[in-house]
Amino acid sequence: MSPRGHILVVDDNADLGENLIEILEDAGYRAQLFTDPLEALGKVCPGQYALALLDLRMPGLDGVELFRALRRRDPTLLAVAMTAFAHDDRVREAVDEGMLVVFTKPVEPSGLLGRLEGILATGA
Amino acid sequence: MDERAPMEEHLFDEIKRYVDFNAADELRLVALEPRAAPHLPRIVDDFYDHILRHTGARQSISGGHAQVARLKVSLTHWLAGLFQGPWDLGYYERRARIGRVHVAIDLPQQYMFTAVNVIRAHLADVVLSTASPEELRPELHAVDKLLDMELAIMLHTYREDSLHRLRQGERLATFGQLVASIAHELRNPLGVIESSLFLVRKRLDPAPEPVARHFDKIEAQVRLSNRIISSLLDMVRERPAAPREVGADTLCQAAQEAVTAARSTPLTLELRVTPGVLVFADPDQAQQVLVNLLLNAADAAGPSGRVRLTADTRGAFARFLVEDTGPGIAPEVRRRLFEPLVSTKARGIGLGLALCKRLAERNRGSIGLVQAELPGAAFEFLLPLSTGSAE
Ligand code: HEM
Repeated sequence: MSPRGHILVVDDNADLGENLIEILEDAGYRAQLFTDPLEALGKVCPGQYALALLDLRMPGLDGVELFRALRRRDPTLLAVAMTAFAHDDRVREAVDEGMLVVFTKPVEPSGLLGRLEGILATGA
Repeated sequence: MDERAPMEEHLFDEIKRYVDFNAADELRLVALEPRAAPHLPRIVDDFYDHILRHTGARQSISGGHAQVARLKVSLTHWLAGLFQGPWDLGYYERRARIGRVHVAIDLPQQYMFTAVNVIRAHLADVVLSTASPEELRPELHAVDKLLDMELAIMLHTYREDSLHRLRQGERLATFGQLVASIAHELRNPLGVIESSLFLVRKRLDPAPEPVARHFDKIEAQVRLSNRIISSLLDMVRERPAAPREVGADTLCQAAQEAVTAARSTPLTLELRVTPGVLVFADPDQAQQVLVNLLLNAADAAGPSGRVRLTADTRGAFARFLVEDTGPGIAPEVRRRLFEPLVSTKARGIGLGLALCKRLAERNRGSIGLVQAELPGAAFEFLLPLSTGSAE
């Protein structure tokens, strides 16, 4: 087990998702990518991930809906959101639902890592 | 008479059909002409007396006696035209063109009712004092019908104008949605480029010299693209104002710095800022307007030209005056200058001034083209003063 925790990444843009995984792994995390939110929902087990990094706009199930469903299974799961649409209604929903940060795409890698570290250390 | 409206009926035919203007009316107008002609100068004088006596209507005639004299000649021709015909599409077009002159100078359309009535009353007098008893009613009727048609044409030109503005607004809304969706879509590939660059840089650290330089270029260009996207989104989004007290001098200096940073060529910018002027506005939005005006002015002035930014007060408003030594604004674009997609520049997409106007209005201010000292264009941008302002 990595000392830095296991991160779930769900983004329908595979290129971006793969890059995020690489960035997270470089920083010492274990990370897993799903490009299909429904598949992620089917495969995730409670307690498996310390944190979820979810895109807000995805076909099938949007990030907020996915988070809601994941949280029903794993009430302690922490989550942050990413979106290209800073003025999306979903941004508000994401915050109301308890997602901790909403990053605006393009997500700046060093900023992302800094925030994730803080969140995993304090749980908020 | 055929009451069916043919598919392609011209508006003028529809108006004539509606008021039942017919050949007999035309004959009566022709017959009235010699009896009306001697009265035209008097009618014209009275017409403008009415306008000049009216405090509101008077405002529209800014050119003094010379303009009134010129208008009197125009109106005399117009009146003579009433009796000459032919009342065909050419007639309609000539009358509509005059209507569009009134629209173009922003003459309030309600003045047209009173104005036509002045003429109606005078022509009724002419008919009443000159027509034979049996022709009295039909002649009055013919004049009434024609003046109703004239009024309909005038009001139609106002309608043309508001339809035009409406379509313009719709065009902007559609355009705005398109811009917003393209801008958002571009953020995804840029995100991939940015994160890939981040990873490649880490794998190749330190990068050999030419590679490092290219990395820097890619990074700078990605950042620039992101900035362009953000400003496009800013333009099409309705961001509410967050007003607070801010010094006019602070705004001017910040705008000056932003303009200097944004331009690759140096700019001669003269600042004349009255100290102690405090405005109550959203500082970012106010600055955005100033930067926009200054960049336009700098473009217009050209490399050898000058730009001047003055900040002082006008009543309850802070006034920012941006002047340049460029060629000025062509009269034909002046009126539509603040409409979206109207550009005076070969490179512009014509959102800048429309955005400025909306930002100014959102901050309970205004923006307009004025006459000033420097020979080029001058824009006056007003923002409400904060109550703490020094007088
Ligand atoms: C029955 C109503 C009116 C008629 C028939 C009429 C007729 C005309 C005509 C023939 C022109 C000249 C257009 C051109 O060829 O350039 C004109 C222009 C103008 N009219 Fe009227 N007018 C009417 C009402 C008014 C009213 C009520 C006002 C002001 C309160 C007004 C103010 C002007 C002005 C300012 C111009 C343009 C001035 C210029 O070119 O200097 N008009 N009008």
